[in-house]
Amino acid sequence: MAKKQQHYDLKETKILFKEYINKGTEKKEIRLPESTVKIDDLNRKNVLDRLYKLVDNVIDKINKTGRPSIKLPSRSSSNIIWDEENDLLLLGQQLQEKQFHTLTSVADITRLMRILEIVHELLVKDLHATKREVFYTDVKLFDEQKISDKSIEDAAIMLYTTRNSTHIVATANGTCIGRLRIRDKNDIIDLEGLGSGGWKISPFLDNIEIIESDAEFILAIEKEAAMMRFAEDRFWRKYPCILLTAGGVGDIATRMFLKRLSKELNLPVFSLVDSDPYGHYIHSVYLRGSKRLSYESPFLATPNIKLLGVLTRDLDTYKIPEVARLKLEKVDVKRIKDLLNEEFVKRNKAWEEDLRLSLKMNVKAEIQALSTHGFEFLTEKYLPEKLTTGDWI
Amino acid sequence: MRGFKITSKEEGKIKQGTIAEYMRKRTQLVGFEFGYWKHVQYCAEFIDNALDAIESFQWKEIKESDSKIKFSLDQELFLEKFSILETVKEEKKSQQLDNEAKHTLMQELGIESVEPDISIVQEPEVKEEESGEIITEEELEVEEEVKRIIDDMQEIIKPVEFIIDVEPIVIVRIREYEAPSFLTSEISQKNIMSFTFEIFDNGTGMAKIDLRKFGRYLASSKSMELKQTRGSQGFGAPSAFSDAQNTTGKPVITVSKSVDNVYATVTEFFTTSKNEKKYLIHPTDIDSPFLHGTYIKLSYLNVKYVRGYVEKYIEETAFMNPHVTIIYIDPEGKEKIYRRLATSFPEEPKYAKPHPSSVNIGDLQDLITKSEKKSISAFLQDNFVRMSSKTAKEIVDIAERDLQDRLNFLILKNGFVNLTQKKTDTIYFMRNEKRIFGRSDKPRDKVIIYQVESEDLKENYWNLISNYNKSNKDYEKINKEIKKLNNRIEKTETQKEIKNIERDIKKLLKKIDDIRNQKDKIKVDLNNLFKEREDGIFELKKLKNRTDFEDFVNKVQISKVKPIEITKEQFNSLFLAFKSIKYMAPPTDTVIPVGDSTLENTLIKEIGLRISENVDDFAGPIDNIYQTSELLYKIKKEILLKEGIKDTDDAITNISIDPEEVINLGSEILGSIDIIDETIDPQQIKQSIVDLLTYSDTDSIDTYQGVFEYFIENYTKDDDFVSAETRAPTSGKGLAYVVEAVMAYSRNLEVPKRSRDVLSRFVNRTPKLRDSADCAITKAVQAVNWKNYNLDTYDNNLPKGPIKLLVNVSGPFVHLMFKSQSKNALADDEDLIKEIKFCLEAIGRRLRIYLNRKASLRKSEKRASLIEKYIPLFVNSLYNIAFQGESIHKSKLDKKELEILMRNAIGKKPTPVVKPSEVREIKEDVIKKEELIEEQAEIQQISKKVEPQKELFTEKTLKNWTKNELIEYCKEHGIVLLSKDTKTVIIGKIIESYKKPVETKPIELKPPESVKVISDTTLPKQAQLPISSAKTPIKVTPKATIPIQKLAPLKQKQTTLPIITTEKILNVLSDEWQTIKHLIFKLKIKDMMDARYLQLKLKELERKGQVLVESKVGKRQWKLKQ
Repeated sequence: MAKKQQHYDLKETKILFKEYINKGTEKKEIRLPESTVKIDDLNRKNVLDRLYKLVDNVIDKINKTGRPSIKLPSRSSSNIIWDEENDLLLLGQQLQEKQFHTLTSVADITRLMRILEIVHELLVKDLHATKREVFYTDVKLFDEQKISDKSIEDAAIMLYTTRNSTHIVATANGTCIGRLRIRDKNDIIDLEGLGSGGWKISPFLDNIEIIESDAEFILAIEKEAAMMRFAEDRFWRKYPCILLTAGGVGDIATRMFLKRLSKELNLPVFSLVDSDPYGHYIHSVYLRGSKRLSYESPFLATPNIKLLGVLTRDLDTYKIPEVARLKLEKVDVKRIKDLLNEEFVKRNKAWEEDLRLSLKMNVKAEIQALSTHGFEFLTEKYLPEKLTTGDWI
Repeated sequence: MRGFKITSKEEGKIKQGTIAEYMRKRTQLVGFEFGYWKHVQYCAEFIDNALDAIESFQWKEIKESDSKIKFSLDQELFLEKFSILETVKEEKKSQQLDNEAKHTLMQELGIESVEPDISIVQEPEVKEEESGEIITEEELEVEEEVKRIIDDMQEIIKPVEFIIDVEPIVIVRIREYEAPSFLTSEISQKNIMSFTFEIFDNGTGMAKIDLRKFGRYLASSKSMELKQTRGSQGFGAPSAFSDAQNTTGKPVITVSKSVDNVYATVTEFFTTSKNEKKYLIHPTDIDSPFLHGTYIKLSYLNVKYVRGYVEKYIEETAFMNPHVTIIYIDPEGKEKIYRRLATSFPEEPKYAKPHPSSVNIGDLQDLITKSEKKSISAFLQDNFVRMSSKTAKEIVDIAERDLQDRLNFLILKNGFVNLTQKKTDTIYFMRNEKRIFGRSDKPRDKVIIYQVESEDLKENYWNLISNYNKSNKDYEKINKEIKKLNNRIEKTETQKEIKNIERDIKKLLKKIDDIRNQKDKIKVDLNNLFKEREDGIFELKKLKNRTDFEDFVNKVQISKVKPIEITKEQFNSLFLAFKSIKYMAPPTDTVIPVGDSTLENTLIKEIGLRISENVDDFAGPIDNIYQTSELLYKIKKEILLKEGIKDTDDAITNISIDPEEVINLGSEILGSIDIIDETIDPQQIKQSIVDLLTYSDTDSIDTYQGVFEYFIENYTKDDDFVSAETRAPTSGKGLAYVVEAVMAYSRNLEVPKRSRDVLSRFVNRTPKLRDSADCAITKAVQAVNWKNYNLDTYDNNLPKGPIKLLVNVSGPFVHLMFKSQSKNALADDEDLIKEIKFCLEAIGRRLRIYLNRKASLRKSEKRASLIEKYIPLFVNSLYNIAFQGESIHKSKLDKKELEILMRNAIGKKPTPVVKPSEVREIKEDVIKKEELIEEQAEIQQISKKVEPQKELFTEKTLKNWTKNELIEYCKEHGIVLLSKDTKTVIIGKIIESYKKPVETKPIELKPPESVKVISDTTLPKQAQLPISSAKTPIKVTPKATIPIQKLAPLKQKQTTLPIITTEKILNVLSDEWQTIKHLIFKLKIKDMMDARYLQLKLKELERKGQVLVESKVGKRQWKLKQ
């Protein structure tokens, strides 16, 4: 009954893989433009040092004038700069001053100081805390988690470091599975042997060490459902790869993990997302970071990620029937238009073309649309074929 | 009641009544109808009189330079624990029953006869008439009654005896009794009570003769003059007497004494409808407890007393008459004492003659028939203000011209001639010739009438006359045209058209002048024609209607007529002429306002407003800054004197004061006082400055007035608002009057529920409580847009809020402008309303400033409390990090201290910190270091980049540069280049240089050290000052209470102050308008005191005329004067 399985040689992917391997050896220094703020990924000691400097400065101010204030890079959109060279969103050099003696920022600066206190504690004790935990340390002061989250980000930026360096982590949603072996403190985990569930990406990435991998590429998948399909098929057995999903937009831990994988293993990275504007957005977040955390993008973004699918043009190529195609809604059209306005889309002609095509055809589709050709179609035909032909953006 | 007998004989049907009769029956016309207001009306009438009496006494005495009895007013009046009632109680302990009470009681019981005539005295009073003189029974009764009167009077006067001849004082007492039932049964109203009203004032008092007239209608000491007084016509008191008698049938009692009499005079009387008095006690001399004054007692019926009416009247009277002590005892036995608050008496308003433009035809007629002057011209000059002899002559002249045309009878220089209309009419010529006639045998002037006979004369006459007639016709035509144009003006709206029409009118008026000249010329020609002409004219010796002609001659010559003998025609012409002339505006010295500062002070004292020093106005300090140099001069002089230099005089004249020295002295003093410490109260600051300047007196204290104001501003947060405005006297339409208003705003005041309680109206210092809606003052208040001044309003647009608003209109003529005889409402008058409006708007503007300031203070208070809430949280976090971590401050960290520091900084302008840029001149190196530190401090420290920021450029950027720029850049950054290096090589070198860690000088942030350097450099400079070197008493040692920590930055200010020099200010000023903010920015001022100094300097420059100032949108702007 089983149809003879067609085997694809993944020719184009392998070419890319080799290229990356070669390139990887000559480490490329990312030089940030001078107009941006440099954010460092620091170790505990360094973060603490900066923290003490900052606190001393504040105390000095109080002693001098009684009016403490803290300056930190502004995170307003006007201060977010797209670095063309590195294809990254970065923070510009605009500073904002949080003054204690003004109504607008007295609450802000107090919260910031509280966060710093927590950060200090975490660092001293070498512990990690999630954003939620931090919020619950002082609900009265923070009022809403949204507010504490913002303060956490501000605190990190105040110290010119990544949020991870402050030992405050976001709960991670991501799972990873495939040809990879890592060490989490003392445990060695083989990601091939974790059944179909895979390894849940830990938010405490500091403790994770990548040991080895024989994968040839990494695949970032938008949805848990698609991931399960791959896991069930033991996709990585047939095609040596690492699979990874965040279940939607990549959270920090997932993105950071992906970044580390791609950087340390020098593997080509592909994304498999819905053929809709949201899917494209998810890809873009992996590609160059979200706006909110723009300053951390050097540590989160994977600039060489390729959009593998599902592309709009694939819908016709793979003859997806009308039933599986959806019409664009108003929100979608707007999102596409927004995307089309982005510099990084404009620069990538193929991407731009594909987005325009979706507008023109007024169509979108989910990854599951491929299942109309059978559930195995995705893993057995669609993906291998595309990886072989190099049909990505 | 007493019969209203008609005074005229019983002949004919029309009977002649008298004014007294009329008014007696209509006391309600002047406010005496039953009701709560009646009490007020009694008070009003008599308090008015009392105050007028007191004032006229004082004014009279002031005029006498050596008066020993005038009220001195400079003594402090202590009436805090004073109480008439208490004193009375004390007195009464010994007395058994009050006479009055007994009296009433007996009336009630019916023992006593109702008619309070002489029989009253028959009550079984035990008297100890010890004298052996035989007195008739009647006299005895009078004696008894007099005694009772005096007892009653003594009751209220005795307690104030100690001040009765030195303090202007008015005492009012109203007592309430159950009214006898037979009286009330007639009046179908319930709750009718009997009241006794007593008033005492120590005013001028009345002599016996005056006392006889007192109480009659229209007998007034004031009505004859147009003077700014409260009452005037002589209606008030008589009406009150009438009402009192009408309701109770009891007589009126008066006791009065003027300074010139030895005894006081007591009378008890009824007034009659014949406007006469019927005495129960004829004027009787008694010993007087007071030097001068009047006591009046009467009884009346009215509805039950309710508080709030009379009280308000008296309170408001006290507001406007702070120069008099007013004591009021109400029927419930409560007394209210309004102490004299002013230390000076208002000036006496001048007697005002009427202004011609306010005189109507009736007035003129009245005046002219009463006049005893010999000529119209004299009459005019005597009776009106702004009437010079020239104007009077002109009026007569115009009247004569008019009359000539009316009577067709021309006055020539040497005679008279009739004006004929037809050629055929007979021409008569008259002239005065000396003839002997009548009984006298000496030649006297006689009017000789000639008839013109000669044809050529007739012809010549007619030629001239026809021209004259033509002129007259022209004149009429032009007049009509002017009227038309005037009508058109009323209809047109655009200003331009009105101007055009006015121009036309002017032209026409000029034509009229021409016509007049022409007519005069004709008259001259006519005169020449007939002058000394003997032939051609024929003397009519026996003419029937000779007297007619003589009449004509008399009539036409208004200039020769006596005012009393003026005829109707003459009067009409005269009035026409009188009104046709333009007069100068009336003089304004006839009105005396209360004065704004008096009003403000009164309100402050009466309401108990919280007012600190007024800080809004800083006009004063400039002069004081100037005084500093005087101060320095003194110091220098002293030094010279001490040194004993021989040529002292020379040396002293050579003393020069450097402006810098002035500033330094100022800053030295400032430096020793902690202006930030809020806990020090302003008095203490003042005191410490005074201590510092022990050698000098008021001068030096005043010198820092400006500085005090700055401090005090911090202590006036809770101040109430009070502002008064007195307009300049206005004289529109012949009425000179002055408008003033005062407004208080205090959170302690209640917001009145009824709109009418907000506004208190006054006319000539007399409160007007009734008919407020009709009054021009109310209308003016409503016309103000109070919302503009941040005040809420009632539905009728009166302002609403915790405010008190008093408006007073003063002027001799205002009584003419009342709407009714009860004098409660002023008649609408456009100018009056405008004046009041302006006045209120001026106050409104000040109120707005106050309210805005209040609002911003409230806001900052709110802000402060919010910020304060966060301080412990913030400090706690900060402390935890620093304490548990490795902060450099770890060892000396004190939570409480941090909190206090932060709390103290709330609501302050950033504490003055000397930015190094300001002291650049002083020491370059230090500054540079400081600057570097300052600039790097924030980011660099944190991001741990110890090296000075070296701008890092990408290769791309560098490529865009020119080679020269690159070379420059390399030079700056110490990159060694070879002359043959190409652009790319240079760029390469630059890039390479980035990779090398840049060596830097180690710089440490040590502000205390740098500060020290700064002060080191400045100290020697100061040492040169004679102040510090010569050991003058200036001690710049800080007071023990002032924390030393805070003194440090203050010391620095000494170096910053000299930065603002006149020169510098002039430098930053330009041709464009700049606000103080611009200037502060340009001068790099970072210190509040500097800004203040700048303000003062600007004022000084403004005064010197070097800069121009303009207020735009409430902000002052300056520019250089070209």
